[in-house]
Amino acid sequence: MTKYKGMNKSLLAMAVAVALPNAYADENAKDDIEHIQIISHYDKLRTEAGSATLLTEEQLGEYEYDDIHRVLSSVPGVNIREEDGYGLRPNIGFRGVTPERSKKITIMEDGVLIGPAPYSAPAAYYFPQTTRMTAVEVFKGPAAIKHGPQTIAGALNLVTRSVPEFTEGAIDIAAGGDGYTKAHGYFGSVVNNIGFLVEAVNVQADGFKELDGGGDTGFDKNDFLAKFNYRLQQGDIEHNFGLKLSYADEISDETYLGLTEADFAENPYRRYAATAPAKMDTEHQQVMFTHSMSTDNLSLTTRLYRNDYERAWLKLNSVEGKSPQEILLNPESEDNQRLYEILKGEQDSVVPGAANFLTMGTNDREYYSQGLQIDGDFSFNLFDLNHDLSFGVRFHEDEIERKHFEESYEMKSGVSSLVENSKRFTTLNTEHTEAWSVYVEDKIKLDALTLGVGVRGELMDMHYQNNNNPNDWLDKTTRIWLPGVSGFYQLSEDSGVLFGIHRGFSPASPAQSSEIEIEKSTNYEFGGRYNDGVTEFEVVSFFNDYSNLKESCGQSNCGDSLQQDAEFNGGAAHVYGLEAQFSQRYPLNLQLDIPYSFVYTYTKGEFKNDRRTSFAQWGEVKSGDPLPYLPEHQVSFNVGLSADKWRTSLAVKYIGSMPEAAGRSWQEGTQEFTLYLEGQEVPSSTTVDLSASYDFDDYGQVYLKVDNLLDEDKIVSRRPYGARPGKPRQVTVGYKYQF
Amino acid sequence: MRVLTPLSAVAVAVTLLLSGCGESSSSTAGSEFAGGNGTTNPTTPTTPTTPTSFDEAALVANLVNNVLTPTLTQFDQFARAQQTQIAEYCAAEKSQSDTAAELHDKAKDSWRAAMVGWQYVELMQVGPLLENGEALKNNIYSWPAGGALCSIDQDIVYHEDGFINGDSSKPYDIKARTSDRKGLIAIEHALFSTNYDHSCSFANEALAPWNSRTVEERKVARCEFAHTAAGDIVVNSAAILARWQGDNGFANQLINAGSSGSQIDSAHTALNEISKALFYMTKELKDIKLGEPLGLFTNSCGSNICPQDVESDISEHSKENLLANIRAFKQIFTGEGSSTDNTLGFDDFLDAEQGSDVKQRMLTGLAEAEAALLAIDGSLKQAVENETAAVTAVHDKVKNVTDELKNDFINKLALELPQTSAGDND
Repeated sequence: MTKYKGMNKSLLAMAVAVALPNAYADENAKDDIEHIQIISHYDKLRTEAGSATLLTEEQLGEYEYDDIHRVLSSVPGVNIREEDGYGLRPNIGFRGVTPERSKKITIMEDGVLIGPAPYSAPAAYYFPQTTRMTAVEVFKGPAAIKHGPQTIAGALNLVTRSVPEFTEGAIDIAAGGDGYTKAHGYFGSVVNNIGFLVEAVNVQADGFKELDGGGDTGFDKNDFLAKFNYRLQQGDIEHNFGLKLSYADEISDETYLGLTEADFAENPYRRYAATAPAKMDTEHQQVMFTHSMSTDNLSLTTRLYRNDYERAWLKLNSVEGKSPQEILLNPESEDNQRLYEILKGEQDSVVPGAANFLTMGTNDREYYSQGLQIDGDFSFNLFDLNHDLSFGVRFHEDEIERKHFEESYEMKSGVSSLVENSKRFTTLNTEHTEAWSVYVEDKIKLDALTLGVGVRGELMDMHYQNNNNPNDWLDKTTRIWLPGVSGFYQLSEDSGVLFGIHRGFSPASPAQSSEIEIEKSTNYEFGGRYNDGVTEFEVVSFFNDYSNLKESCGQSNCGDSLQQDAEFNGGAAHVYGLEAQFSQRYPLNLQLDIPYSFVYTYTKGEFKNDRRTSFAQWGEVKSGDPLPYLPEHQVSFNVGLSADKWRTSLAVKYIGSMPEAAGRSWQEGTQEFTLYLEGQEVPSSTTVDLSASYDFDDYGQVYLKVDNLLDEDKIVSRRPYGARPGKPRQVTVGYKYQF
Repeated sequence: MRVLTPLSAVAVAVTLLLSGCGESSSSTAGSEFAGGNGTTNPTTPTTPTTPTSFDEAALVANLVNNVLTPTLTQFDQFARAQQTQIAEYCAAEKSQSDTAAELHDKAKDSWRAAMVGWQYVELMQVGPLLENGEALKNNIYSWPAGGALCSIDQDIVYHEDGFINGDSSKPYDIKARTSDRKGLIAIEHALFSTNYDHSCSFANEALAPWNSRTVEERKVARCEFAHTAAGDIVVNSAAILARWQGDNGFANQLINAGSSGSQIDSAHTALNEISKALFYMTKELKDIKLGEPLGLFTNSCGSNICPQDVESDISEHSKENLLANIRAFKQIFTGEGSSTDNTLGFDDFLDAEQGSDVKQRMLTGLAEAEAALLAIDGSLKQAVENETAAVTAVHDKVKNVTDELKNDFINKLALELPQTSAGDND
């Protein structure tokens, strides 16, 4: 029986690694057999320019998080908008880009694009199950240029479990409050030179919200993964062939409807009766073939991939044509009072003289995403200089087909039920993209200076078709080159300074005319690092200069179904800030060490022009107005204490207040625009998570974790409709056994 | 130098690329591409591909002077007559005069006349009728949004008490009341409802004693409320006329479109404003007034036949309302208004743009729709229940007109499809 390799390490070493989230990272892992992880462990000063952060399996296991929001809380420069408390549909931004549905960052799994349709519809309604990941990598600044199409903010790579070199397996079961359960297991081995791995996860919960009239408000997610690989040595060349098959599904009782301020104050976890029928139903499949080969100075990885994703989300769109946001903001007005009471189930839809039905929309969408990508790395000497050349080419194709429809529901005696034959289609269209991308980056060593010069090219052929009108279509071709320069100057063995400048770009959807300006920015970063193996300190400042900031409407951020998929120009904008992290370990005595770390992020985003928009988070903006959902200050503090058989860890995260909307309402002639949530803020919050474990050696490990120890219950967002809470205190007990 | 040469070349390339020369985008679009807003129907191009020789300004002038302005002034007269008639009825009802019943009938007739007058206006919603979220229009007639009888019953009591729900700090002021609690809908309930109990499932403090009061007292309370509501209609009608008439009124803005004194940039844009109003026939008339009672859409009865969902169901005046709508449409289409001297209408514009066949199909459709409506005996409410096929026939005939309106009419004349019609239910 083979010991699981992670478990062979001493717990002390593991605890140190956990508390130093960014200390040991270097790009271009060459020891990684499947080439799915981009950054490798490194135990001294990193000489890369640009920000690259690695969260290891040990760190991910520390708190057993299922929620990517919590996983990323210790990474500097990440801005998040909470929504459902479980992180089912994450809203992640880096360096101030809008966090909405993580659409402005490049999301990958094992090095390939994993979003449902990253070019045609980048909103990441599919997000891989975090529990089964063995590493999470974050790239910002010029480091992001190798990972398009979104290059303004950066890229996130989630790494699945590798096929083991020897037989190994594990089970992990856990149960917690609000009906939370997790069952996770994997087994892998090598038979006749063919390695395999099978893995399955089920995570479910009844939900922490209390539905009027009773019922579940949680979710049930399944993930299955199978991997096979075959290794072949031909002379000096080692080949590795891999096949990955994965399947995931989710059913969740999720809604976009929150609460009025008064109802939130009374019970933040209430859910109105009108949300009872809400349901998200998704299914995702992936097939990927991989070939990698390497010699002493060349490595090449080829990936052929196909992702299919379907989702249908039934949720409340409006009541009698009126936005729930409008009703919840003024529930007591005479116009809204009856509709508000219908939402709560306190009035029936049909009363003498009035019939006000609930309009429930099902945004039914099918996606596929497929491609072939080759990434390489070549080291050589030229002009007496050491060059490390990274290059890649990818052909990618993706498509979204929208089949949105609405149905009427009647509220009667507190129960919302479907009105038969009331289905009507609202949006029927297809967006499709075929994209070629290339990048090349040369890292040149000039004494103490490591200079990186690179460029990324994207050539996109896009097609939009209204499936209800053959004459409503658009064909568009866009080409763009995105250069970047970065450098690291080593001052001493333990310290150095870094700088970078690169062009950022975010593709416009296929339905946007080529005459509409695309989103571009020039991004600068400058900072320094110190690492003596015990203390790590890094400070990076950044400045993103947007020539045109763009936004697009989904129901989650706009709430107005008439505006869905519309894009808006915000004009010039600046985002700048500072990311600082410090980590160290404090030896208490010979047996006990206290590793701890601080991470601080300052971000300021503001418009640099005056303009009137109809975007639900902007309205009329003026130069100097802040970008919504961007906290100026974020601080996290992690501390651990561990001995031979046990360990405890505490994570504290502070997020400053952030505006819900940027500008103001406006009126011009017969045109008027009401900016809901004008002047409102998401309050600052402090969340504390605690975890502890005890190791029974051959009998496995018991762990306990408390998410949100202080039971923080402030509003995390007033979107899509009304005030929403984060997850309340949740105590979970689990057991892990590895062999 | 060996080092600097290649590095300089790279630096120059990077600088050029950063300065933006590395970017291009081009596209071709379908004839009805409208910005890819994802809705099921597109909007159409708004500018004629070839300039028209038709005198669009003359058409606008005739429609304004001969149809729109007379319609608004006529309604204003009906509104004033209604206020007077209701006042007379109230006086008789309070004094329990023998003439009360007769004056009640006259008051109801005055409401019917005002409603017919207003149904013409419904087809002519431009300018001041659309400003501020259609505030003035809704103050007069908030259908289809307003009309919950409970809300009106509450306001009848608040009006009588002089306060909102017994709160002396909130005096009753009809100007400040929401549109669903006043206007023609509220007067209809106050004058025509024969059930004198309130319609609320839970009576608030002010409404609690209502059902135990005498019918006479309740009739008086309803009548006096109706009188105040009729006065409010007169005020709002005057406000519409004030914005409509005069040198800077919207009528002149339309007529002088394209000249320096007007905010409307061309006669074609002015025509667009007027033609958009015709789309009332698509959604409100066809889908809501006819389609919903027929069960073609979700209604109070689920999706079944639903007689109580007809417009003006208490007064059973929905057939007359529809007739007024169709005739108002025809007036704008043909330009045949209060004066027979000038009949320049959209029909003439269609002739000029090789659209005579479209014109004929629309005129035929209008005539058939009117005939089908007049063929119904009794009220529309009864017909929905007993002569469903006859009501369906009216719906089909109206649809013939709206199909032309949405397609060939706007295409021939290069007019806009209103955003609200882009996602309709055909």
